[in-house]
Amino acid sequence: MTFQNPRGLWLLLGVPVLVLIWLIRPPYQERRVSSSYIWRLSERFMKKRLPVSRIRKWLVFLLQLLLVSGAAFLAARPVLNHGGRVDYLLILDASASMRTVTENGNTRYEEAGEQIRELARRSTAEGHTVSVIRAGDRAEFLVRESASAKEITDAVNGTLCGWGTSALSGAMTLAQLFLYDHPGAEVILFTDQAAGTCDGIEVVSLDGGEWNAALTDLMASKDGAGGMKLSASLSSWGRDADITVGLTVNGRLTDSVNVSCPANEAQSVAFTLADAETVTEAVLFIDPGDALEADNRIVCCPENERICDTLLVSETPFYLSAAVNALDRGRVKLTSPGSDGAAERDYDLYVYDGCLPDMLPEAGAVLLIDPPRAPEGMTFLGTAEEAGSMTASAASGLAGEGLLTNMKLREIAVSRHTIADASDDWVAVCSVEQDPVFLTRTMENGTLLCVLLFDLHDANLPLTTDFICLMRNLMNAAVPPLLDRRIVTVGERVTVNAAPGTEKIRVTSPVGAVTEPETDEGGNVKLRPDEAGLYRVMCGGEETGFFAAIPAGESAPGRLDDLTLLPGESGEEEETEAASGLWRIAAAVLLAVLLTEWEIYIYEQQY
Amino acid sequence: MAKDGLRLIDNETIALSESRDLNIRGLMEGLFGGNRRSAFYGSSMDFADYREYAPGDDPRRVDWNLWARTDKLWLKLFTDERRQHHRIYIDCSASMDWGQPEKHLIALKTAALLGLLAVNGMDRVSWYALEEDRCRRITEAVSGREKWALGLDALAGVPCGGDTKLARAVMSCPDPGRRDGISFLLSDFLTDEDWKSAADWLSETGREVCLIRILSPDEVNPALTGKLRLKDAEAAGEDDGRNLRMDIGRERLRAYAAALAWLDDELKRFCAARRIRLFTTTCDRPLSRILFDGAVRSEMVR
Repeated sequence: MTFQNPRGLWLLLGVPVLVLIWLIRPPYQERRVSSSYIWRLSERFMKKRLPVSRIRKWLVFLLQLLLVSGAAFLAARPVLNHGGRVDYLLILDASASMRTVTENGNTRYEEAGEQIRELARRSTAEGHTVSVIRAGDRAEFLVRESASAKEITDAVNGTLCGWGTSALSGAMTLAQLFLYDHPGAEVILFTDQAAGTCDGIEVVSLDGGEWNAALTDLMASKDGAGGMKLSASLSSWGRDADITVGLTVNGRLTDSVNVSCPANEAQSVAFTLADAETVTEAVLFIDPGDALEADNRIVCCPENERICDTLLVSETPFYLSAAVNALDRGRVKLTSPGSDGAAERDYDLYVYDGCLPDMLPEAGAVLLIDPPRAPEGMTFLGTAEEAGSMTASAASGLAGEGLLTNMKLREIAVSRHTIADASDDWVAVCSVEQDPVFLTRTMENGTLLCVLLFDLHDANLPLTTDFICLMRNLMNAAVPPLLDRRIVTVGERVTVNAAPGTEKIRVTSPVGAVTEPETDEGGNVKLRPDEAGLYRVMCGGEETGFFAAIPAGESAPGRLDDLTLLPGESGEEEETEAASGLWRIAAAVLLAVLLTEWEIYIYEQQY
Repeated sequence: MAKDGLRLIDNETIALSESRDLNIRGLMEGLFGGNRRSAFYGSSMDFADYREYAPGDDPRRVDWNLWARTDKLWLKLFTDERRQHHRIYIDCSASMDWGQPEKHLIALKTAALLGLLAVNGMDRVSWYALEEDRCRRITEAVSGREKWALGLDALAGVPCGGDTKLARAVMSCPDPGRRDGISFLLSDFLTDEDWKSAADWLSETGREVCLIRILSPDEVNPALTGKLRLKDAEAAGEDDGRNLRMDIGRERLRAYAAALAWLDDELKRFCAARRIRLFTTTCDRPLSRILFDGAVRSEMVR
């Protein structure tokens, strides 16, 4: 029998203390009475006492002794190993940082694998069993309770290190469940993170203090002159370093800069490109010869906004045409209500100002401004003449957020608006004095229908930049960008917004693997990159890409905190465990002893 | 000194005693000059009996009406009124020095008041202190309120302590009297000694016997719990057998109550069999309540 927590045996000091208390406490207190005659006389009226009551005080003392001893025993967490068999549970950290190359030329992941194989050989030879959990983007058992070194070795050899974070919490859950089934199992975690507060688990650290330089947090923004600014963070983990950061645009080295990087401090690096329109792929890279390559390169694939043809139907299209022309996203046609042009249908965005066509377009996005009659699913109740501020509705949700992107909605005043009662299909995006004035709904055919319930001349909205943002958001809703994100972290989701009718989308992974994921009902595809690097997407003859970077935290040394595994339950043939926390047990024992004494006192007090 | 003695009883109680008298149930003998009906024929106004005339009798005492009806001479007899001599025995053991106020003080006050009732009835009263195994006369027999008041000084100075052997002390009384009054015995009767012998001995003198039992409240309802070494106030030393080690709990207190009730019953049975009057009181009760409530109910006082 062994003890998992030998410190618990310190509680046995309570035994001599208890004995001492019993020895030194006065057994009888002297009290003077006028006469003891009645007390002596009472002897004959005492009920015949059971033998157990005569030794009651000794039983109480014995109980207290047993309580203290038992608590010490339980606190020490004794383990009874039948046949000497030990169940080893090994957790293998498969996060991206485990790709760091050590002095031996192997990655930390390979080093961990080697240690696991060695432990498996040794343990299985002694009759023990080994289970292995791989903690990559999710936690899973590679092998369970195996007594075969070959099986364990094959299982470990058949895995690769991941590119994301490690699902250590999931691994701990699996380990906890394993412990419930196998009390007394030894849990060992192979990781490159420094061990902090870890209870019930042995941590084997593979961090050899290797140096790592990392490029992270790439930001790309266009300026008003048609140029582009690229900025990123450069860090040197482990030592000071002078690092050269290079920039290639469309495969050609165009710029580089030397950066003095103090240890463990992020430095900002920025490049400016004169002509953003010609950039299809910009790569920032470093080549310092550090231990982890995965964070030495970061790629930006800017996407030009897609063409959006717009039909404006208005008697007074001044504000509308000014905003749409400023965006310069494609063909713009101005027409008046009732004309033949108002019925054309080969546009992406349709804006009807002060009118409502009999038949709404069946594709793209439609904006109705102050319609003369209520569209489907809506009833006009009257007109509110009071002026008010336009604010975002709390219930606008995701639909509203897309339409309000970049809009500040500061001091937008509306002097008159229509009060409408909308069905549940409509989502209120903006309101004036609790009345929804900007509503949206997605029609059954996929058309996005938006309604502004006020005349543009009754509001200052067209005079603000919010109006231009609104028109741009409507264009993006009508013709969404092919990819919703260009730079992601491994494991994050990227949506490919394919044009309606797109038959095939082809995705090429950083290692060249080609897949053709199926589109959903809306023609979209959701991708979840599991490797770091540049993914290329071919969609309807249009080619673009996005970059999946390793999580920023994987570049820096990590630290494990608050990893706690509770000991398993007592088993008939396995082991006995106590509740965790020595002090809690001590307090419970003290409380029990006090309660016992109190109960006796109360018993004696009662008449 | 007289004033100190008089403090034993307050004026209000003295005033109340004016309307009370000691209750003597039988006919005693006593001495001449008293106010109590006696077993003798005498010259009082109370008719007692007839007797046939004999030569030498006073012809003035012949009942002529009866002679007219019976044609015989009958003499009218009247009871004689005598003075009684009441004796009050006070237990002065250490156990009486207990309670708040002390049982001993209540015993002295009760004795003083009984003495007042006696002198009010033109009787004489003597107080005796039962100390160890002897009976010490506290004063000469007193009669009249003035002497009673003087006797209080001696009564107030009676100490208590030691271990009184009740039976031996009572029996050592030099002049217990015979058929001439009431013998009062004031004690807590918390003793192993043979108090029954004491009461029997007093009864055998032909006098009426009254036992007054005085307890303290904590003797009736003891507030003791836990492991205690009970030290008897009358114990001679640490090794005295009356000192007890006792684990007092619920069960023990129940047994105590049962023992106390048994002793009460024993006293009542004993007294009823011998026509001894008995009442029990506690020292926390006012003196007027003790005498004019308890004593009246037990027919010691009327």
